[in-house]
This record gives sequence, structure tokens and C-alpha cells, in this order.
Amino acid sequence: MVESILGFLKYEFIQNAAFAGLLASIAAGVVGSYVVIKRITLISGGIAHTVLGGMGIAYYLGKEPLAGAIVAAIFSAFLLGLVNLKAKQHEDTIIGALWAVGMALGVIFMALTPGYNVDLMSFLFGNILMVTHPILRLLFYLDTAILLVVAIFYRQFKLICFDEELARLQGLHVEALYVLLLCLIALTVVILIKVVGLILVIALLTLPAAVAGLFTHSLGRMMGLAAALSLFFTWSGLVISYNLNLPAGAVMVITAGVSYLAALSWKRLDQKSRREESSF
Amino acid sequence: MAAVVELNGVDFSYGSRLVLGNIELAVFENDFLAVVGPNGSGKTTLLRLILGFLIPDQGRVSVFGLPADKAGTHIGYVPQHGNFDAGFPISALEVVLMGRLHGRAFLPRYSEGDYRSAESAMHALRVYDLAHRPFGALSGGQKQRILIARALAAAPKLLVLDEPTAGVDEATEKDIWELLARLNEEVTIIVVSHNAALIAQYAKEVLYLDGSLKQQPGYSLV
Repeated sequence: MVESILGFLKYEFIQNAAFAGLLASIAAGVVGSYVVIKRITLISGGIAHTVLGGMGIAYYLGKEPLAGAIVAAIFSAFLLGLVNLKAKQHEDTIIGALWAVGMALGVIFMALTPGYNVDLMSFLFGNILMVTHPILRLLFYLDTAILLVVAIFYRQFKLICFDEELARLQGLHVEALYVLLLCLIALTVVILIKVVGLILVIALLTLPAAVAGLFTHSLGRMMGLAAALSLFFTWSGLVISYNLNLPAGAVMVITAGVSYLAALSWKRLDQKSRREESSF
Repeated sequence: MAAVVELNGVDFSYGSRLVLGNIELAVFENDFLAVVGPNGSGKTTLLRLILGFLIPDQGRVSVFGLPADKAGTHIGYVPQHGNFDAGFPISALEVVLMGRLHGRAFLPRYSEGDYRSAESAMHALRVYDLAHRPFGALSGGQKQRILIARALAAAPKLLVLDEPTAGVDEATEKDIWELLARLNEEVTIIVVSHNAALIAQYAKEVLYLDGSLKQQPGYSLV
């Protein structure tokens, strides 16, 4: 039985998918933890949708869509960083505008591209089963860059998330660090688009970190636990989707969402029983 | 004697609403200045001008002879404990260690020296036993002590506190004022408080802002 469920591991495209899931999980766990503790899910969503615009334009120009995605992601990270610094009171409206315009640009350029349009769906919902070796290599480099930057700026990022005023007072380059953090989110979004697609990026970026945050009070452990959970969600999603013939990205996100709800309920019950114990 | 903090003819307004007008203030070494007054009188605005978070419309704010926005590293700042997200994954010790962080601190680990300073600040505030507790799970009074320890960890010459007794019970409030009076032997203190009656027993100088700019007395040393 186990053999029949996991027998699909012998296929190379499945091995690639599993490896892509691993790379995506590392980035999602580490960077997603910052997204959750700094509460910038909406901004991350804005970046993700702008990425579709970049992919559409790259696709239209006959370039590698992932390259377009990286350019658009970094561009939107800078733009949103600037909005946060210069026009904070309109921030959520501008994010909403960028969100919609980015996506519309993507759709228009893909429609303008002659030929058979299967790729829009794969951008929206991901296609982890189509990940090739060159793509894996690119994801690996992106992961390495993200981890390196996080290692270097780990304490400074933590301080700007916890107490931006103190960071400013102590001479940290708050604006530059914030934009750098948005760039890391942008790169993570690019990786995740390849795995679960644009629509589901935010789920994989935030749900594992949110679950992890319920169980630990250390940012480092939160990142590790979030990465492990994300790996569990992507790999179990792969197994389930293969065996039931469902879209992989959607199954992964359902697994993550159900786990989040379960963790939240468990936490509630646990706190309640502790309060009852302590009241005796 | 050079002033620790000096405001000369400072005006500040939010939009068209003038909050502080023509403020003259000089704070000297080992002063313990309480800034009191009702809500909206500009107490917090004054504090934020000194911290360099706000730039005055008119006049000059200098701290240790530097423009306020360049002097941040010389100030130990204690914000209100209610400003923090209770779910943030951080221990009390890590919060205190953050007081030692600066713009050229790379990689995840703090140095031995950082740990020593943080731990001795926590001993001084009698909160060392809380070191490994999650910050978000502490009581208001405990959080406030941790934040004071954080400010002291960098051994500042000036301590600036924003409503350090907001949201703590009466006994804790007295405790905190006594603690500040003791710390005042070593550092200059500026504190904002809405409780004018109680702080007057501990502070050496009181600046009363009543929101009506005309009646604002110029501050002078007692």
C-alpha cells in the first residue's frame, strides 16, 4: 500500500517537484515569519500580484517569465517601500491599486502573446510538476541569497519588526532595512509562484509561519518550525494530489489552512484548560 | 554648564493646529524632569521632538549639543509597554539585548559584552528571573521594567520615558517612581506623565503643559 502511494517517487519530475517543495519551504518559513510578525501580509500580496505583470511582459517579449518575475518583484518592493515611507496614510489604497494593475497587466500581455495560452493557469495556480533542472538551480540560488541576507541582518530585521522607533534611535538604517526585507519577500514570492502559483502564494507565505508562531516564542525556532511545516504541507500535498488526481498547489494550501485552524483551536482549548486549572 | 537637552523657541504644529508654541527648555545633568498635563497638551509631542522623531517648525532642539535627530544613540528611550504586539516571538532577555544593537551589528549572535550589560541591567531592575519568559506574557509592570532595563543596557546618560506607569496598578506605579528616583543618581531623566500629583513627589523639576499656549510658563530650574 505504502509502495503504491509513494511509488510515484521513481519519476524524475516528481523528484524535481519534491526538491522544489523543499526550496520553497525554506524560503517560505524564514521570510514568512517576518511577514507574520511585522504584519505585512497585504504588502506581500501586492508584491505577488505585481509579479504577474512582470511575468506577462517577459512572456510577451519571449523572455523567461521567471526573469520578468524577479525584475517586477524587486521593482514593486522598492515602490511599496517608498509608499510606506512617503505616503503612509494612503498605503493600503495604493497597495490595492498596484495589486489590481499588476495582475491586469499580466493578463493583457499574456493575451497579446500569440500562440496557445496554457501558461496563465500555471502562473495563477503553479505547476510544481513542470519544474525543470535549470529552474531548480535558479530557485536554489534565490534561496541561498535569501538565507545569506537574513543571516547577516537577522538582529536588525528583528528590531525593525519589534520596535521601529528604537531601531531609528539606535542608528539603524530603518528605511533601507525595510526595503531590503520587502526585496526578500519579493524573491520568496517568485519561488512560491513556481510551486503553488500566484493565487496561493500568500497562503504558503503566512500559514506555516502563523502556525509556528503559536508554538514558540523565539523567532529562530519560529522560522525553523515554519519551514518544516511548509515542507510537510507541500510534500503531503504532492502525495495527495498525485493519488487523487487533484491540482497540487490547491491541495497544499488546503492542508495548510486546515492545520492552521486546528492549531488555533488547540491553542484556544489549551489556554482555556490552563486558566481553569489555575483558578482552582 | 552645558545643557543635556535644550529647546530654543520651539514651535510645533500638526497641520494647522499649533501644539507647542515658543518653548524654551533647558535640562541639565542629573535633572529629573517630569512633563505633566492633560491629554492633547503636547507632552508626547515634546518628548518626540527631544527624541528627534519630529522636527520643529521653528526653533532648535539640541541633545548633548547635537541636533536631536543625530543624538539618538545617546538616549535611553522607554516607550509605553502597551505599544507592543503580545504575540511577538521574543524573550524578555532578547528585548533587553536589543538595547545594545546598533547599525553595524551583523549576524545573529550578540557578544559576551552585550550579554553582560543586558544581564546586569536586568539585575539592577530585579527582573533577571524573567529573562527567558516570553515578553508578551509578562504583566504591565514587568514589561515596563524590562523596557527600562533595555534602555539602561546601553549605559545612556539620558533616560527618556513616555508614561511609564500607564496601565499598571498603584503599588507598581510607586515602585517605578522610586526606582527612577534611584536611577537618577546616575542618569538625567525626562519623564512624561498624566499623574501630576504623584510624580511631583519624586521629580526634581516639573514642566506643566496645559494645552493653552498663552499660559505656558517658561521652564526654569528649581
